[in-house]
Amino acid sequence: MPQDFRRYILKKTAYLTLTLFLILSFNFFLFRMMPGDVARVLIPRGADEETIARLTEYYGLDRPPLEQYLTYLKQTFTGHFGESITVYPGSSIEDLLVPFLVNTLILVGIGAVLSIVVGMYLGRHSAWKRGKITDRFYSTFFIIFYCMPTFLFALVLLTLIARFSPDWPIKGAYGVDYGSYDFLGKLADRTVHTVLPLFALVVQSIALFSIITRSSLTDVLTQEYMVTAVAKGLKNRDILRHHAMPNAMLPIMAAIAMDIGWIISGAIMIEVVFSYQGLGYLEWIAVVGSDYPLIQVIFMIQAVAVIVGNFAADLMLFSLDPRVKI
Amino acid sequence: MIRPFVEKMKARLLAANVSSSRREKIKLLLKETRKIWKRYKRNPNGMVGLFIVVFFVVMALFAPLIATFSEPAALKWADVNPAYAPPSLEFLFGTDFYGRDVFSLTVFGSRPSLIVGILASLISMILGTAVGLVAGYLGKMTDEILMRITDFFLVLPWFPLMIVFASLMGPSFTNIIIIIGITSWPWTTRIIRAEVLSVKEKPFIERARGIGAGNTRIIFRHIFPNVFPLVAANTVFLVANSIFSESFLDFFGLSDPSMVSWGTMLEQAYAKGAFSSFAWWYILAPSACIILLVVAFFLIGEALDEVLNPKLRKR
Amino acid sequence: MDVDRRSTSPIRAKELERLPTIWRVLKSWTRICTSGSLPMRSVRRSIPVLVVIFFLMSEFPLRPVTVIDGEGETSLRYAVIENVDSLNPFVGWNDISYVFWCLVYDSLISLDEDMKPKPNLALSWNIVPDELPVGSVWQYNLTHNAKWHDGEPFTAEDVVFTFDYQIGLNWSHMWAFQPYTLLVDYVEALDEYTVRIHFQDLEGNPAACSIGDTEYLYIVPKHLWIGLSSMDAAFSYTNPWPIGTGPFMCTANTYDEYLAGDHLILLRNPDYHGTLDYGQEVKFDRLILDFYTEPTAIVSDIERGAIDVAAINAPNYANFMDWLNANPTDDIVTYAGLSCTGYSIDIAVCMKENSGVGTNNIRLDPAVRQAMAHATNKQFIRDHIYRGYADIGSTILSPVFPYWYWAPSPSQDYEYDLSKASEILETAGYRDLNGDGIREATEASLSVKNKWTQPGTPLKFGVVVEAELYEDRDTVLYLKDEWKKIGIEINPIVVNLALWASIVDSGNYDLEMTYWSGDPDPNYLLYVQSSYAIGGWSENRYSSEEYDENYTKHVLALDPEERREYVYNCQELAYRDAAYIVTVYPYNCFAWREDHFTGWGNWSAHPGRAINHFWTANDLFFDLVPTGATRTNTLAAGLFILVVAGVVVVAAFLLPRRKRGSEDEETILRR
Repeated sequence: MPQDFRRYILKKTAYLTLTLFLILSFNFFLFRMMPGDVARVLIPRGADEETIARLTEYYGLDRPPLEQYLTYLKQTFTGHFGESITVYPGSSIEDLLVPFLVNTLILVGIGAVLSIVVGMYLGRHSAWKRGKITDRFYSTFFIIFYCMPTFLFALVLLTLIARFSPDWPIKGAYGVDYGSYDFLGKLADRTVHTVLPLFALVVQSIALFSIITRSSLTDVLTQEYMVTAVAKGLKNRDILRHHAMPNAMLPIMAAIAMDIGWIISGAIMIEVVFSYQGLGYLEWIAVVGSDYPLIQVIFMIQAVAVIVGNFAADLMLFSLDPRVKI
Repeated sequence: MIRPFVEKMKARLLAANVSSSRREKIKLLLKETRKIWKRYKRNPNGMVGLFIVVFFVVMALFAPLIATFSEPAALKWADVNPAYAPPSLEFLFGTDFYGRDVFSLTVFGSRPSLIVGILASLISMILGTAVGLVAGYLGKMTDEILMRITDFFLVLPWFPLMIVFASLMGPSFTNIIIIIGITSWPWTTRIIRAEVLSVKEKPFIERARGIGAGNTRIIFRHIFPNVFPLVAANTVFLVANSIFSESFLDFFGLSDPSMVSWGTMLEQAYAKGAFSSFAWWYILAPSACIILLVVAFFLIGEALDEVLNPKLRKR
Repeated sequence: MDVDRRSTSPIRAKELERLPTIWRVLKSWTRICTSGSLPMRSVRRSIPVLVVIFFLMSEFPLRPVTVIDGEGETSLRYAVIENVDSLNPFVGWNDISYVFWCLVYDSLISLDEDMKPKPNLALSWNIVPDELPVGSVWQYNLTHNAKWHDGEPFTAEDVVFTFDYQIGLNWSHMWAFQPYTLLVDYVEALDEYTVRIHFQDLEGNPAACSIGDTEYLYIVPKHLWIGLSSMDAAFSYTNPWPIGTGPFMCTANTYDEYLAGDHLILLRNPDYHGTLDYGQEVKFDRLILDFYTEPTAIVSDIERGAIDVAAINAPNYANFMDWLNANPTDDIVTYAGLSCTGYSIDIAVCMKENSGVGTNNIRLDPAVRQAMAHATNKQFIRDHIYRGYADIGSTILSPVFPYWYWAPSPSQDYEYDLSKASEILETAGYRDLNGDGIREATEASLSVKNKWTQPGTPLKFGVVVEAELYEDRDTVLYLKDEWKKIGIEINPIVVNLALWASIVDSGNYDLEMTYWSGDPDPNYLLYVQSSYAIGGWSENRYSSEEYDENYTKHVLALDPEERREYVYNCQELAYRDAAYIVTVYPYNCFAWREDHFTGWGNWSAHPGRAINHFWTANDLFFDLVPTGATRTNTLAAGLFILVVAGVVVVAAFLLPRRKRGSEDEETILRR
């Protein structure tokens, strides 16, 4: 029903834009509520009053809030995000973001796909075998990993690898000689550095998706029409694939949509523990350094990523089941 | 042993000078509770979870009696006890970098976790339920606006939001409670609202409106009690989430560092090289406690879900 | 999670088996081998698996590709725990940044391994005898061989420019090297390779100056900096490609590496003037500064040999030493000793009166500070918080500079004595009036008499401490318990670095934990406690006329013995006034690999060899010789993983799609 679909998209896009705008504004106001005099953060030891005044002017921190807000909006839409003030003093943010963004996209992108695929597979497997030992085993496993603090697993993994492997790298998104490798070498270098953080990241998401898939699938499998399907003489595999899963997908997709935010959030902890130079890591050092322009931009990127992810998930939901209410 | 106590309480309540309809309501409530408890008892996972939670609550309440050393967090122990001593009879879980007994630290560490868990999820629940009730019941414009706001907060990435708030508000125990509370209410709202929407159409609400009951009255007297079981189940998940979040915030140094909690113990372990020197006892004790407690609440939540939600019971 | 037997009965458990691909394929092959027929589908399905097995077998055992840092290049990898905060020497200020700038830039005069002045850009220097007053003009004869890294020649113009850039009207905002430029009147170039610095006293009159041979500020290239306003240079210029005359050069990638924050790669400068002038030659190709966020990782990497030399903090060093004792090896050598940079940990007391809301002026009473000093158990702090890797603190000058260091006599020393501390407070008029364990100021106290506070104000102070510095945090928590015993309550205010800096800069605090490092010449560290540094480097706004007098005299005295007397006086005055309570002088702890480089030398006999020496042209770098040890890398493992992942993904797609109603493969595998 293209007409319906078009209306759905339009409505969703409208919401998307509205939420984006709200996020931008929220972002702005959040970072203006900071303690103390922000100008002081810019000025290292040794400047006198006159210099402080001149710098406040230079960074534009003393203009009325409305003017600051408008400048902020204008800058955001033209891609000028200002300058970092303490982490990389004087460096413009849009220059410095790109490599971090790329690193995070790799980690979170692969992590999301992997955790969805593997999580759904394992959840499907254990739902199908519910009540058996395998199911019990899986469920206990999943619950423990779901409830384990992310950083803990990452740290334990790091410690074990550091202790038992003679040369597996334990820090960074790529090695020191990265620049001198050819394409294949670069790929291999990145792989070696990304494997551990990826593993730590997906373990928890896999557990979550498995649990959701399992419970959603179990819901469906115990419905009346499943008995009908069996009675019709359909093969088990067909039942699973063509009857049970599509109906179970709805809540799973909804959960995945809500969980994209979690994956993006959780990546910070992994990145910090493994010193993996991604957006989360940058956000962390920006927070430690009270580098508000930088924090503002990263936070906005993350929020936008979550919204876009939700939007994509909503579209998929609609295509799966047009009855879904907007 | 519980039963005579419950009977006594019931008798006392009923004997109190309350109006007959109230008395009846209380009787119904007690009966419902008993039914739920009976059903709950049949759920093995739920019982395990409950047992663990009770265990930790007792540990927290009687911490000064259970701990083998008083003032376990004082640095003065460094003069007296060996540092990084493995578990022994004297130090049940070994000692840390300053010779402080890990067992006593762990016992006292249960307090902040439970306090934060309960208080933060209370805040969350109150906020979330209030918004959910109002949005679901009043519908139309109010609903739209409130749900947009909720969605907005849902969309903000949760951990970054917490660390930003924590860095803005400064590290302190009360700030942590507030931060966790205000970042987890949106989940509750969605669930409550959905439930309210379905309860709203029920005939007895129509009847109440027919006899002229005002909105507030309807919400509090009729809708809320019906929604409450769901709220309760959801709150338990919130507690699990709060304890989880609290351990993060502690570990990343965004909480009061002088407070003894499992998260700060892990932070100390990390900073003082327990991971590289394999002082496994110092890492295992708080980690195991965090995991156990979160798992326990999770199991209780699932069990409550099953018990209270008629749809799930058939599985 | 209840097992609901009703709904599972028609679907028997066995038929629900959905085995993983490999398992099923193995089963089908077993069947083939036993039955003799050849079902095509299974064959097709198993091909990806066979491919994987083939690869597994060809890669076993995993052979790491041995690479000697890429085509014969040797590198020194130095691991540190903090990042370089700026490439611009006028902007950044943490210790590792100084180490970095010292590799790239030069100064006129440097320090050798025994912390004595040695020539760098200035081949020789002397006081010009016929310029009066004698000692006010110093002449430096510069090397002809120095070239900037971009090929331009180094001349006296650059020296003149560097100084002019920071004096006069620019002095107030060019804060970075103020202790060195404070007394510089003007600089002139006599010819292309000779400069004269004219010194002045604090009134602006030409005056003899003793610090002519300790001007350690970096000389920057005029042709690259002249277009920048000094305001930009001091606060916002990023200096993306630092060009200096030093033994190491930056590359075009340096700025990107700095932004990425993982490491910085510096190349050996083949045209280094030191080689021609002094025979100083760097014998390896690259120096890599590796930035770590986790001490655990540093320790692991030095154990594994992934890095060549590392700076480790005290607690992790203690653990590392335990590991080393359990696994003794000749390959790793460690050193822990007083830092050649005069590192000290101090509690600063804000000495300015209007310090803002929430602060307590009672701290201005010297008796209170002295009591605090007596109640500080420095031994405990050293033994347990720093694990013995520190010396007990007294004044802000570290005993690593034995010539200038003044040690308090037993009667002057603030030895740990709680009863004495209580006594001091009692006699000073601070008593516990309301029995809550905290003393209050009575009318008899100086605080009330000087109208610093109202009578009855309790002795409660806030202590600002940086969240990342665990030792500082622990010290404050320890002192909190200890000072309570004498009736003083302190409240830790734990903040992040930026907030800490802003609070300290604004001067709105009671006490704060800080650290200092400086030059072997006492000028720098004594300057920061003088009144001239208020509004600049002075953290605690300490101001004493007597101190200032002695400071000025020490700077203008040319005779070292005379100078030392004033330096001793300064230290004694500062110690007595206790505006800085120095707790400990922490050791710098290092570990390095003898199997990768030789020539490290004896760092305890020659503290100036330590790798964190931040005065340019560190002798260490000219002595280190690579042993030719190879380093493994894990590229092969990376490729292997990629291949496996690729195969798995391809296999998942190759699995034939089931059509509706088609033959059920399960029938083949039916048990």
